[in-house]
Amino acid sequence: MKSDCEKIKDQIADLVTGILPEAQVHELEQHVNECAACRDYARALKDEDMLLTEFFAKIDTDITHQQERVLQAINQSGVSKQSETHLIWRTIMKSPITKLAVAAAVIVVVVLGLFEFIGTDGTSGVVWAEVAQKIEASPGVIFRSRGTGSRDPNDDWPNGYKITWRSAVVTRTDRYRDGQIRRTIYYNLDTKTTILLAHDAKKYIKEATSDAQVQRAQADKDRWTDPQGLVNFCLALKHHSLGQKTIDGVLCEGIETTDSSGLPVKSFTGRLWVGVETGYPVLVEIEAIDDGSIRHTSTLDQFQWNVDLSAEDVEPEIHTDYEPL
Amino acid sequence: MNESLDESVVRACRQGDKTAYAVLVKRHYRHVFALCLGVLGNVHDAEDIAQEAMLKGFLKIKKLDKGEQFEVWILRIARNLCFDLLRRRKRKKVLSAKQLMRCGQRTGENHDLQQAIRRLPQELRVPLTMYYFDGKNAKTIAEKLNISHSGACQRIRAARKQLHELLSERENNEK
Repeated sequence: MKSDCEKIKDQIADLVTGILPEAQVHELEQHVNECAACRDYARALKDEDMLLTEFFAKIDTDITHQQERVLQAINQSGVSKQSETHLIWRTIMKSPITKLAVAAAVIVVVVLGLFEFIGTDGTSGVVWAEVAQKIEASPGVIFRSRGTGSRDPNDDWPNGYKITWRSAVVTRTDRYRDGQIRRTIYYNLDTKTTILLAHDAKKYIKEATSDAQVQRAQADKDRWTDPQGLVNFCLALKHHSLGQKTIDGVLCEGIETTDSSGLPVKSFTGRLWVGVETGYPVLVEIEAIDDGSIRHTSTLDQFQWNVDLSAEDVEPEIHTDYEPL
Repeated sequence: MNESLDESVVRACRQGDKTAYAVLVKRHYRHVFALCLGVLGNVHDAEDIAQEAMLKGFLKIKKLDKGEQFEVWILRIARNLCFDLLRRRKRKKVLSAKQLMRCGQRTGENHDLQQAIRRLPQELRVPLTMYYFDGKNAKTIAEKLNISHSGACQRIRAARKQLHELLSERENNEK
C-alpha cells in the first residue's frame, strides 16, 4: 500500500458507511480500481459492514415489550391521574377491515362532535368560527377517546381507551385495555398501506389498501374537514353556552347542544369545551340514546393540536416475533 | 409557527398526563436503548437502564423547560445512568458469573465481532452501535449525541477503522 493510501483509508471507511461526499466517490473508485491494496481494504470493510449489519439486526431485544413495561410502571406510579369523564360512542369491531373503517369513523365522530356545536351566536370569549379555522389549519392532532355502551363483544371501550394520531395522510389508533396495548390500526393514504397489529396475539396484517377504501376514507375526510360545509352544518344546530370552567388546568368555554335533528338517534347531548387562550378544543363529551334505547357515551380529550405528524413518526413497528395473520 | 411534536407532548406530560408520555416512549425508546447498548455493551443491562431512564424522564419531566430538547435530555439521563452502573461495576471489579453470562447472550452469534466491538473505546462504540442498530444515519447520531455532523462522521470512521484492525489482529493471531 502506498503512503497516500493511508489517507485513502479514511475515504474508504466513509464510502462503506455511506458518509463520503458524492463529489469524492468517483475519484476514490478510480483509485480503488487501480490499487490492489486499497481494493482489498475496501472489500474487507464492506464484508465487515455486512457482518455488523447482521450482528445488530440479530440483537434479541423486544423494544415494544420494554416500551409497554415502561408505560405499565408509569401507570402504577403514584402520579395523579387526570380527571376522567365518561364518554360515549359505539364501534363495531368484527374484522380488521371494519376496525380500519372504525379508525376513520372515530375521526369523523371527533370532527362531527366538535363541529356540531360550533355556532356564532354565543357571547363567550371564544370565537367559535375561528375554532373551525384553527382545526382545519392544524397539520395533525393526537387525542384520547373512551366510551361506554357498546353492545359489541369485541369492543374494548368500556374497559379501555384509544390514542389516535391523525393527519391528512396518516391515521393511527392504539387501543388499550387495563393499561396494556392490545391493537394498533394504521392507515396511510399516501402509500396506501394498512397495518393492523394484534399485540396480545403477536399477529399482524400489512396490506395494500384498495383504491375504493382510500377513496371512501378520503371522501369522509373531505366531507368533514371542509370548513364551509361544516360551518353550514353547525349553524343548523341549536346550542347554548355553558360558561367557563377550568379543565385540567386550562380555562375553557363550553357550549351544549341537544339538537338531534338529522341524527339517527332518539336523543343526543353534546358538549364542547374550548381553551379560552388557545382556541383549540380541550374536551368533547357526547351522550346518545340509539334506536334500540342503548345509551352510548364518549369522551374525547387530551388533545394535542397543531402537531406535525410524519408517517415515520406514526407508522407502527412490526416486531420481528409477530406473525402474519 | 408549529411547535414540535415533542414540545407539545412534553407540555401535556408536565401537566401530569401519563398517556401523553406514551408518545415520547414510542418515539425515543429505541434511541435510548441504542445509546445504552453502545455504552454498556450488553443487551440485558441496556434494557434495564433504558427502561429506568424513560421512567426517570417521566418523573423528572417538570424540570424540562424546553420540550423540543426532550431527546437530548432523555439521552443524557440514560448516559448518566449507564455511567453510574459502570462506576458501580468498577468498584466491584469482578463481574458475577451471572453478569458474565449476560454479556455473551442475546447478541448475534459472531463472538469475535462482539469482542472486537467491546474493545472499542466508548466514544467510538456508542456512535458505531447507534449507527448500526438505529438506522445508519450520521446526521441523527450527531443530533442525539449533541455533536457536529463532521464529528459524528469522524467517530464512525474511526470506529470502523479500529474495528477492522482489531478483527485483523485476531485473525492473524489465529493463523
